[in-house]
Amino acid sequence: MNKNDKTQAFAVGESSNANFLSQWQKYFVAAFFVVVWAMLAFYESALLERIDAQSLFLYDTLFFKEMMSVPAGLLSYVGAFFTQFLAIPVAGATVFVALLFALYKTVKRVFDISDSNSLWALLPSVLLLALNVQFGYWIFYIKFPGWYFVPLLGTLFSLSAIECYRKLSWKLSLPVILLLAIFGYPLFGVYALFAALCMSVIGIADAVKAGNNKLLIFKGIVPAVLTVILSVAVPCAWYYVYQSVIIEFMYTAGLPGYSWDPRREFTSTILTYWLPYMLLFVSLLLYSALCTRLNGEGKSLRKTITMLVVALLSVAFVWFYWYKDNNFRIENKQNNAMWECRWRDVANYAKDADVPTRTIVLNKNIALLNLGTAGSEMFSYPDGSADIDAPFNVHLTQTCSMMSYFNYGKLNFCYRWCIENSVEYGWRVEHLKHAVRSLIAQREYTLARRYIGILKKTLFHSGWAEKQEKFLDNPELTLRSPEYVLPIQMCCYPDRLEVDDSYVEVYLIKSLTMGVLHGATNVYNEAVLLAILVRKDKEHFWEALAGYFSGRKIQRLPKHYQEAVLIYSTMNKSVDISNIPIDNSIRTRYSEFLKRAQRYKGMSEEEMAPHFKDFSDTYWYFYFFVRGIRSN
Amino acid sequence: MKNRILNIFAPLLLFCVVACSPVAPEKWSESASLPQIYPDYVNVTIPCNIAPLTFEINDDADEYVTRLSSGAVELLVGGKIVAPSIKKWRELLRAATGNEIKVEVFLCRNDRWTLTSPFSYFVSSDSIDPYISYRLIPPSYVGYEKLTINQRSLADYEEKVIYNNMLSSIEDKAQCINCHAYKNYRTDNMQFHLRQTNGGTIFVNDGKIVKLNMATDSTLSPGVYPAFNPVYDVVAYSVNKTGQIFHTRNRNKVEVQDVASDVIIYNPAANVVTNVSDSPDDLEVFPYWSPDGKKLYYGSAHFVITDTARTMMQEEIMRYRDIKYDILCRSWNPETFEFSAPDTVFAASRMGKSATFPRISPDGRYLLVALGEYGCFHVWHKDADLCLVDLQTGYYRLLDKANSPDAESYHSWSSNSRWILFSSRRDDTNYTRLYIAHVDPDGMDSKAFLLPQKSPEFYSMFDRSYNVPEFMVEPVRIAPHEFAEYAKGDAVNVKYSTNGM
Repeated sequence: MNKNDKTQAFAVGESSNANFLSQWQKYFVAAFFVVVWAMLAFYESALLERIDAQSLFLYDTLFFKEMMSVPAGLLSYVGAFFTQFLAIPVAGATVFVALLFALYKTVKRVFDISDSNSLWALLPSVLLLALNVQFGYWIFYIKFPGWYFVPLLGTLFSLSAIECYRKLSWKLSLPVILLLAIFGYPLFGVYALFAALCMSVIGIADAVKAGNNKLLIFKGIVPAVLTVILSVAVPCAWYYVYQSVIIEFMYTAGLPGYSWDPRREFTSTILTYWLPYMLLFVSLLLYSALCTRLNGEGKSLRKTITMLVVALLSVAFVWFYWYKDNNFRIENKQNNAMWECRWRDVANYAKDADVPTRTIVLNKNIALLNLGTAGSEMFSYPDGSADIDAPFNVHLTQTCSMMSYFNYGKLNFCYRWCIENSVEYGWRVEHLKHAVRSLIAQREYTLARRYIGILKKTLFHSGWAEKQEKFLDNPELTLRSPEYVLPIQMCCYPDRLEVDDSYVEVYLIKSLTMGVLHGATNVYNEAVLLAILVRKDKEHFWEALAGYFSGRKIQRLPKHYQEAVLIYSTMNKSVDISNIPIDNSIRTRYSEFLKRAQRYKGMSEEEMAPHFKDFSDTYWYFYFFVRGIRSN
Repeated sequence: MKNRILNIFAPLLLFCVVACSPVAPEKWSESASLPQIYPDYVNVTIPCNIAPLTFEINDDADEYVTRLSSGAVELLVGGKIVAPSIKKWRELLRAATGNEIKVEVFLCRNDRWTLTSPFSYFVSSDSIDPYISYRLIPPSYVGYEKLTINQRSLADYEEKVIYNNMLSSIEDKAQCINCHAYKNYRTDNMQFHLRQTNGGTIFVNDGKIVKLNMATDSTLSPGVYPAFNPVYDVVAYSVNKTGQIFHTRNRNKVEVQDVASDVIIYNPAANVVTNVSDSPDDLEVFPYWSPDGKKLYYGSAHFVITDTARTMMQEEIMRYRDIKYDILCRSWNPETFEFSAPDTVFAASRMGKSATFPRISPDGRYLLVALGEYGCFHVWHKDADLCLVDLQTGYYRLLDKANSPDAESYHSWSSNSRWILFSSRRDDTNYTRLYIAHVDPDGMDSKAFLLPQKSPEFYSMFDRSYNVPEFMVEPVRIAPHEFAEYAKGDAVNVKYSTNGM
């Protein structure tokens, strides 16, 4: 083999290695997007539906004008448009992943990244994915419409602008940057300014590469200085045009509205929420600076290792950022099931929690009331008050107040929180739907019709609105509707002036235990009894039990009520329970419970609890061992 | 070349114009029923300088043509949305002033035209003030976010922001704005309040802005509901400790109640406030001056705790229906700043009612109040109606034509005393909208009409309530950002004085 042959063979070998390098990266990229799509569409389907419920997009000119009344309004509007597709998780995930893929292709094209380096082009998509899968309970608190899609759309816009810029003559650098900053800013916010910044970095990089001083000045330094000036001046100038935002907001227009609370630790705010953003901007600026240097082939082994590291880090980064709180997932699944009146599913989901949040417990209790099995099941589920996995305060008023108040027949309070939340966070599909239902349940049809009219201007919720409209035309239908039966029956109390002080569960229990109502419905009386049991209120138990008995023909008292009768009669021997039928099996179990209690006498409740796990489906276990419940 | 283009496009253009211009049908049958239109402008009385009344026809039909005519002047509008051009509308108004505009709605179904029963707009020769202002606020209870005070030209649809709280609000440092008021319908003396973060009163005194801190140790709270004296340089305020509590079932939803309230006056020249009425057993609210500036009217409810174990709030929760306001009046001497003892002008409580928000017509003849069953915040009371008291005779009457079954409240008089502007929840029971009604010199009202908008569909989507509407004869000229600079700045402390000077 002569020298030429050797060179050729090496070239062939290098080429096949480069091909291999390109090929596996292609497969990796394909696998990445497919897995992300599947995870979003199926594993996170309940979350996507919930995100849509926390959003609103209307086909209406006033809605458009409102959105355009703040900088980055167009971005927000388009973001809200795409968010509506999350109502059908497969469709929403497809749109999102398609845009992520488009971003990957755009990065590759704009920065001329070769196939063998293509994982570098994946990084912005990875960062934006990490940004989106980390939110958790933020979904209730973010005030920026369309936030789920805005970072992705904004980045795509920036890159598209850069791509156009690169095709233009350098003589147009200044006017393009000027126009982009001045007129792009109101539509796309900081993404327009960021694009201008990238353009000037590219200008400098190109000029340095060309070694042309004139070019460096006119394509690089002057645009860079201009960009810096524009980045300060343009938001300030537009501030005087917009009359609806403070000056500080102008410099973050287009970024999500979670604020950095300096009282919180660094990792839970900056790192968790802003780091992907920072890395995204830094990476794109670096790509701009390295422009066209990522298209080389290089040494394949070193590159293979580099690319493998990039691939592994990408997966690890996304996995690290993926919000994996099981309770949050359960809450979302329960919520979606509650809208569909799948009460058994709602209850079953609660079983998946180790220590549930109060939302899970409230949802489960509502489901059991609807199923009519609360008396025999309510205390056989995991109970407690798990801390919310979020670095900020999460209140039931934002997460489940409307659903809970509606089902407990506190219809005015349900409507009140629809309004309070819509005022603070903007109208969302969930607010509108709860408003409609609470108004229909209390026969305020004029106002219900207004909100139905708004929902009819949505793409995916107009069908729901039309179904509700039938209740307006034929109110008797509500009495047979599975979603209205419980609230209407629960709304049998006289009007009173009350406040919940923003504590939903505490208020519900307090309100239910204010005294037995004469003439109340059976389900209301049962809810009173259950509230008394939750409060462990031995003084009012017998009165509540009498309320439960009134108006019912009872053949067998539900299990938990029998358990409660035994425990409360043990505490108050003067009560005669001979007329109350108690199952032998329950009596026997109670004797076992008492014997075991004797055995572990002297231990604290915390120490005793593990020895009573086999009683965790009883009211006795709840009474003695479920303590310190905190509800917010 | 140019001519060739013109030759091609001119007929096309002409065709488009002709094709798009509505044509009244030549033959039709007549229907005895009125067309279903929103807003309901059937047989309303309108001022001679109002913007076009736009409406939507809700009858089902294939085609719609509406003819508005007065004498020889005629205006045709095609389509379901009837939105006449401002220019043509003004011609029509000129022709119809002191007379009426006839409105004929033609509906075409299956190629057959029907004329629904015609109705009229009665065009009063009494003009209306050219501007109004109002606060736009979601119909919320406790929370707030975006609030604006806006001004609107009544001759057209132009609306501008006077102030937007988002110019000085950020998340946990939010700022609420409320209670805008003007002196004599002019804007070089005006005010509005800022609450919570950087709270204070933005006070414009002869065009000069100052931010005031009106809290003193001798008054219950900073000034709340304001009333500029139309003649002298003083402003009356009520000072209130207010709470909200919610109905569990009642459709009124919420009760906004004062647990304590008094009336004070502010003298800008001396920068002092003085108590006018601070009886602990009386709740005083909503002051308003007579046109000569020498009488101060206000609402007052005598309410005492019957069980000393209770707090005032608890007592009010128990007996909220017993809180009944009368309208009282005190004479004021502008030289000595002394007030007389109060006289009862309108004893609503004797009728088992509660009257608040006294507003005197600028001609001094009428007192207009919001009258409800109980309480002071009638905007949340569905039974609240406008009631006119003739100050010459003492007779009162509900404004039957202007009122509705839902809440009417927050009214104001035009500077010529012939128009009233008020908020009403009649449209959907929740969002207050602005209605305008004519009141003739004899105190007879006419059917109220909804503040017209460029698109009649506007209200069905607009998610804010109109609050505290006020007439103005000129617009506010200070820019929102100028107010914002003061809103973010420090406030000048107001002092307390026992003699007002």
